[in-house]
Amino acid sequence: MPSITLTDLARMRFEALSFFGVCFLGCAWIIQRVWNGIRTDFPKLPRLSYGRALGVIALWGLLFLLVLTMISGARELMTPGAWHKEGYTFKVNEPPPPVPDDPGEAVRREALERLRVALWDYAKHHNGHLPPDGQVAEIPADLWRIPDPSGLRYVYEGGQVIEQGASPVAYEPGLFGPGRMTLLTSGEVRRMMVDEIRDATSKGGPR
Amino acid sequence: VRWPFSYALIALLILTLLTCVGLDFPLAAIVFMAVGWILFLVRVVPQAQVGWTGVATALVCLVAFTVGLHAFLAWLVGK
Repeated sequence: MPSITLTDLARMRFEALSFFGVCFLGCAWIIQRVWNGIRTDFPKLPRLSYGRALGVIALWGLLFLLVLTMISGARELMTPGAWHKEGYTFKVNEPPPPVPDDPGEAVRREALERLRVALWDYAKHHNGHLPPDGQVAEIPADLWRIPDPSGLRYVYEGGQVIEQGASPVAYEPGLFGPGRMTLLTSGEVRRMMVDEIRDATSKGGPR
Repeated sequence: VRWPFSYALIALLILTLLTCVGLDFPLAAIVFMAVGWILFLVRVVPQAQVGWTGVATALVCLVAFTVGLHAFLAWLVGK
């Protein structure tokens, strides 16, 4: 037999509404007691019934709602650049277009570190010599790719020997701007400008 | 028979019949509206944290307001 019951979310909503209702009734009771307590000192005040106390609380709540709405509305309107005029009314400015999915510098550095580990492992088995090109079978093809959806490969300066000097071994193509993450023969991974790489590379500089 | 009692009895009968055919959300909604605040407190209170600086500020403000109001009203009525 089908059973149509409340979802967990609806149950939680009803619980919250129930709590609100209890607070509302409790506040009305407190207001009634306080008002009728004041009547002992001011007999001219009319006696407040519980129903009327509920009315007072409802009106007071509506008043607060109005005031808070005005405050929040004023804050919205006073935010510089948040609104633009369109005809006789104002509209909220569109949010800026989403930033392209640019991997952070830490991710770029980490990807090049992984390539370094593979290259250094290769070199240890070849008397310190790095692969002549980026097509050797010992190094997985994924490691040659930069962390970007374009799938571009690192620019590789093959045939060098590890831990001799500090010349660029592999560096990023010109996708992330002039500052490129670069792996040096010293094993260091650091950010270098295009001109620096050009000066340090004997084969004509970055491509 | 008092009318409100009759209406309540009819409503209860309808709710029971609805529950019997599998539509128990009206009864559940009423039950949760009636006693849901207890479940709400059971769920929320353990997660709540008391901001003692806020409590202290509120107490200081309450005392200052009470004393100030008392002094003002005493002056107003000439005591």
